[in-house]
Amino acid sequence: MNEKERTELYQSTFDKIHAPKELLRKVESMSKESRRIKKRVILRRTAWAAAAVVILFVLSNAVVLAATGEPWVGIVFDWNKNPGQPLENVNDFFWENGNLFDADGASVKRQYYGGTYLDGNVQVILLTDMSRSDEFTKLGENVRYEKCEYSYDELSRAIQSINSRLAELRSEGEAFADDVVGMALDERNNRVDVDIYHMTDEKTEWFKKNISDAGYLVFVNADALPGED
Amino acid sequence: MERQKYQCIVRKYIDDVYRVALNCCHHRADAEDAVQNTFLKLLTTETAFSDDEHIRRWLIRVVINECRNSLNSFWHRKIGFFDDLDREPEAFSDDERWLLEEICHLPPKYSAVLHLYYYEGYHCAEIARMLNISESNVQTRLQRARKMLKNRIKEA
Repeated sequence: MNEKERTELYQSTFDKIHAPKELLRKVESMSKESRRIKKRVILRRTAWAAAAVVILFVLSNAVVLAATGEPWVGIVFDWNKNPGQPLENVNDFFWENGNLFDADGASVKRQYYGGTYLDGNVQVILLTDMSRSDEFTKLGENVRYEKCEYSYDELSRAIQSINSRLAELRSEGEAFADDVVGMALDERNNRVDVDIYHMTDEKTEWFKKNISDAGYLVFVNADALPGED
Repeated sequence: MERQKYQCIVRKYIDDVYRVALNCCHHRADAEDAVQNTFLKLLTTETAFSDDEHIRRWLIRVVINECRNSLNSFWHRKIGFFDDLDREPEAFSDDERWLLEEICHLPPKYSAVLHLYYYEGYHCAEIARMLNISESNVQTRLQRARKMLKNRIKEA
């Protein structure tokens, strides 16, 4: 199944899904007043949830106090004094702290950051410059640093630039350009995966000659895609 | 917004908005709540829409945010949504049924990107703007979603 057939399958499938008539009727008849009613429902739910949380808090502290001589709140505070647990996704950490991406969410500021992945419960952070590892101490002790060749920024930009070049080649009618069906930043291996539909040596050579033969590219055969036997 | 204009927009876009919501929430009731909240926001918004495409993008962006809120909510239903496919008026082929069931097993952030790309026909850059993530992140999600589907074929 090629990209066109995949799109057609996706479209024919979802063309058959429609909003229920009851929903259409409700939405059509909504007015600004509906928001107030909705808010009342939300407030009622919130009040119930808050009551449940308070009861749970009191009961669980009582149980832990009886068992250990200290409420769990105290245990948690002690735990918080220790270095934090590894975060599942360092990208999210940077995103939340606003120091990896620019305001437009597009470019990476830290040129020495190469990506991250989890090795068991250890957060591995790739760095092109290992002397910068002290900047990541907030992530806790369960973190390992590895030297890498390319920065996350460099690989991200490479994907963007390859995409632009592919668009040009498609507009020029290059048949192989349509066979490049995906690209992804492989943080674990510090590489960019290029998915080529029914990959052959001829297609990879064409890619290297017309687009890029950078060392970070890894060509992947992508012949079994959604709906394909 | 005028009543007549509002109803016209509802009839035109409710199916699109509902499909996006289903892909993001994976549950009919959550999706219906998200659709209602989205159109409630349309009623009260002061956004000056320049054309139909502007309205469509605005609705899709709002419904995605509504679904995100719903997924983070305590009241979020955690069971699948394609368990009652026979409710749909048109019958699904085996391939279509298979696709829907597999999409249901994908994490919502992947199925949402797949839907915007394959069904709504948006480019990665447009999806990135809608989801407020980077373009390479969209590429990565698309590629991972394809790989997950591929692995499920192997398991099957």
